[in-house]
Amino acid sequence: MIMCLGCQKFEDFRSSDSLSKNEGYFIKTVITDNELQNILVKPPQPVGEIGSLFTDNRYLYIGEYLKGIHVYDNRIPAAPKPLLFLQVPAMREFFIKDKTLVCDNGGDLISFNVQGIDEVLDNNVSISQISQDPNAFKLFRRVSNVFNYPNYPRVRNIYFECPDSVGYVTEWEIRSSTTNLNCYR
Amino acid sequence: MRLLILFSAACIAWGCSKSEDVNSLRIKGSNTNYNHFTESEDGNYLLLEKNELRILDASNPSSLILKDYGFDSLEIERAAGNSDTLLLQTKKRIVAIDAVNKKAVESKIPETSICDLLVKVGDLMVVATGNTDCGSTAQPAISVYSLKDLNDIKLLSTLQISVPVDLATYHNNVFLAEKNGTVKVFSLSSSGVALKHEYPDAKAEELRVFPSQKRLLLKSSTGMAQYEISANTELKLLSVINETP
Repeated sequence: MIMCLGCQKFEDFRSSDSLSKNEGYFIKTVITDNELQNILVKPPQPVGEIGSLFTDNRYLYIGEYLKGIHVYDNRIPAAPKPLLFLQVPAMREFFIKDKTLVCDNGGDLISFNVQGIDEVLDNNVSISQISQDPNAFKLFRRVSNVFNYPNYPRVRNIYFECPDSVGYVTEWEIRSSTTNLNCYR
Repeated sequence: MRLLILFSAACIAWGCSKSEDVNSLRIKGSNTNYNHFTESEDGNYLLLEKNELRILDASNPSSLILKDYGFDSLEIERAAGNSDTLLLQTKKRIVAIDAVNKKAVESKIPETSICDLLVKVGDLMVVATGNTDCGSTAQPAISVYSLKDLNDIKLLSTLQISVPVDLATYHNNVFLAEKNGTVKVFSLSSSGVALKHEYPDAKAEELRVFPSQKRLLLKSSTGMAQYEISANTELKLLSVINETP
């Protein structure tokens, strides 16, 4: 209780926690500031770890945690059809309004045009064609350092490799560990 | 023993919002990083980062117009409301902000946990308490408070629930996801809260409601599901998309 209330430092508990030496989360993929800006349109992809969700009159948007957004043709909500994948590195949350997508991108807040989605659905423009069009998914604005990027695994009660001096960790892998890992959440 | 160790660690992690050093061990993380982007009651977005809250004007989304609110001494874990009245969940208290008169009122609501859920619906505040994942010892419950006088926030009614994990609003109703996967629909009124429907097989972990589409999107441990919301707030399953293992 005192620990909870006071945030006081106390002795390292790893020595008596068997979990600390069994397994831990290790950095698997890191992206740099430059790679953060690789916003790309791609063909539909398998849906990985779902983050946030959004829908409007025509589309269903499934955010994949730190990867991007799966866009479905949702005109028949009982049978949504995969349309394309928008790669937005290190993205956690987003919304779409007036054909503008607003999301986090690492620690930044960005907005970009998503009119190109309509081109794919309505005019049968191919993904390769639309990806060549500089205006179809054009960045409107970037506001830097709005958020602290969570450079730690999403789950709790785990030990993990401290991500010191790296960019944005977008993937972690669980491996057995013979030594103490220095970060915990 | 291990549970005790983990509980102690969790206490530090949850009690101390910043990274804490314990010898060479660093305790990192906060709830806020996963509640940093919340739709406000008036359709804008509340962007949260510890003692800073920004309201993103969604009427002109491409411009990213942000209004900053600084709260020096508050470490905010969750926010709800709108630009006139904000409700801030801090480590121990819910604080109501009268943004028009620039006045902060610390509510007299009994101590809350940082995993408690809160939403604002007009003059009502709905709080779901008892998430044991955050060390809360409170009995799981959903409570409705009147916000007519921010200086005197009054409890209207409370219902027992199972452990809450997410809460979303739909007109004068709230949708609650429980840790056991159940979705419950409650109606709100000036006299309090009443259970309307219950969906025990929904497998819900997170909820997102889109009133203009009459649609509920639900995240489960295996994927997501779309539901249509009927006129009397019954849910009809439309489709399911599973994650690829």
